[in-house]
Amino acid sequence: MFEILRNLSRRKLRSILTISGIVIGIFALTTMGALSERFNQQLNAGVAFYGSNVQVAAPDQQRTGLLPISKMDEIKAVDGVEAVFPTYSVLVNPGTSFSFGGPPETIFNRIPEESAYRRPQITIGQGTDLSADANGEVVLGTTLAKEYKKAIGDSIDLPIKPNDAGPDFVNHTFTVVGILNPTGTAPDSYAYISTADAQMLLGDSLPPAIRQTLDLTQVAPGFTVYGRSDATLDELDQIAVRINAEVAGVKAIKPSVSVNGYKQFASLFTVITTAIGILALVVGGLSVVNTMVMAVSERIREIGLKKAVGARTTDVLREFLAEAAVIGLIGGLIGYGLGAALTLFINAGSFAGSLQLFLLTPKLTVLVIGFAVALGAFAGVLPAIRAARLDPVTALRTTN
Amino acid sequence: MANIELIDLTKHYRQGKNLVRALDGVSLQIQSGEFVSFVGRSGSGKTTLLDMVGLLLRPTRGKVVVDGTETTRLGDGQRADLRSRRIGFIFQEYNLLPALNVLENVMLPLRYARRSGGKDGKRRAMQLLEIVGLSDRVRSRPSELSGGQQQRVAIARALINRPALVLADEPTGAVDTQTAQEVIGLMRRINREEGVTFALVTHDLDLAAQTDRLIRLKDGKVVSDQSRVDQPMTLMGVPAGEVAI
Repeated sequence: MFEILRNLSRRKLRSILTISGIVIGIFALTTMGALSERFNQQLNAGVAFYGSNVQVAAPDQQRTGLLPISKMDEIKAVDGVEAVFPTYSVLVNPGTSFSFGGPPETIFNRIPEESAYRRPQITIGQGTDLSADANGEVVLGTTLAKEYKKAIGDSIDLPIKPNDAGPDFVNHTFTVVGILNPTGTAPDSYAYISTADAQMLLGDSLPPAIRQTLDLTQVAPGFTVYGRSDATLDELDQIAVRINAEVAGVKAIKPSVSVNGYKQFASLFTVITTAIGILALVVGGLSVVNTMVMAVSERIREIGLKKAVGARTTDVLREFLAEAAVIGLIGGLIGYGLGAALTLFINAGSFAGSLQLFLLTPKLTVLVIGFAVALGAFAGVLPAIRAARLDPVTALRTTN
Repeated sequence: MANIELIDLTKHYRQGKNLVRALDGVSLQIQSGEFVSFVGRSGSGKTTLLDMVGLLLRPTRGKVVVDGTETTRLGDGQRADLRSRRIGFIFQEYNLLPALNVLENVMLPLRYARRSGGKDGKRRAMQLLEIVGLSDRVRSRPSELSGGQQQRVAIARALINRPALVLADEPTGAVDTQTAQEVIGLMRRINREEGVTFALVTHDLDLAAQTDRLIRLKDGKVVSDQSRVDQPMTLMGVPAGEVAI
């Protein structure tokens, strides 16, 4: 190892340039990989959630987009349905939409009985869950609590009043009774309130003309339908088909549609990460090839000497491959270090409050460093073979 | 101890349309503990002979027998093993690795000898550096040493695996006369005290005169093979100008 490092230090500038090539590639791979890990984490949670239930909404032609609560009984009667819950959601910051960092911060109604069905499960980290008859209480996801600097017992006005809010904007004061355990996924940026409070916020968001004609306790924007706890995606799809066939005035969405949407999104990031990997391969790999070819050319006599004192072809091959791999390792460590520092900096600073953009996982670390070493070794194969095949007599008589 | 037998050793190769007879049917024996020198004009075949005895080059025809082992049919790996266990090399340009210090250079052959270097290897290397007078320079890099010192390191390296035979190719070719005497004296001492067989190629008649046996080559053939006991070693029957490089 020391010999390899000394050999590298003999040609400092060239070694630095070579390692820089790998650093650039691995830096890009680390940051894009961390981005991909974060998205995959969220997408997997999305797949787990939407793959565990059937979402029911109002048909497209329905003007208000609201469903009568009475439809829940009809849906419960459909074969395979175990439970149905109304779903209410309001944006924490009205006007925001799905962002690059994940889904928008959203207020949902939380029904204690639904916890037994929900996948993935969410648990209370601090304080308590909402009481059965909660009024003006909220449980915050960790990201929301951090963003708005809220602790148990603090109050928060929801939805958050936008800077450009009109005179008719209404919000309400809630007391923080609980903070969720971090999930690393969407619920971190969600707030949960009682169904009654959610109906109140829903009413606030409706045009007055509609609001005045509705009994808000008898409508919901959608339902979440659960089958057996071990129901497969196909079985849930079949439940969706049966709901659409047997219950008029609702639109059940096959969970496979949502799941496939998430998976396609995940595929896109896989493609991006792969592209970055290929870029690293080209930039870093070529620089290693160049360096190792030069190293072999400069050290022909050294190779001859080693063969003269007993080195086999495989010994020489192994030594040059090790040297190339060490170049990859050094470049990999530096590139990963820089990439990790950048992702941690961005996570801690620029996007504080919203979902963190990057996720450095042990898997990514091993993958990136391993890739760098493999890249170096792979790029060093041809020069190493050339070195190993040198005729010792010719090598010893070569003038460097 | 090394007992080398060369039987009808021949090396021909093509250079353009011409067939070069670098070595042409050489047969001779080198007994254990001998101190032999090969002399001859440039192109006489002495270095080719040394390369074949050192198992670095395969003959076109003939045999190289080392301690009863016919080597020409051995595979490259077996030849490398035999080389590392039985043969040491000393070169004109020392060929020390610049990335290694003196001690590491001496211990280099241990790496390929499939022997555990460990403490024994280091102890042996230190003993050899003591013998060659460089025990105070173990951490020095080759670039920090004079030519004579580098050649002494190379001698220590050649002996690390306790070889039976040391082959030296112009070992004094890159050092001044006084240093050359020191180097040859050192080899002579190791030859006598440790019984290591030395075979060296040189164009230096004074140096050749200090060996026990002088073999003269011309056009790839042995033209004379004389021992110290045969006649005085000063001229050895070599015509003036015959050993010029």
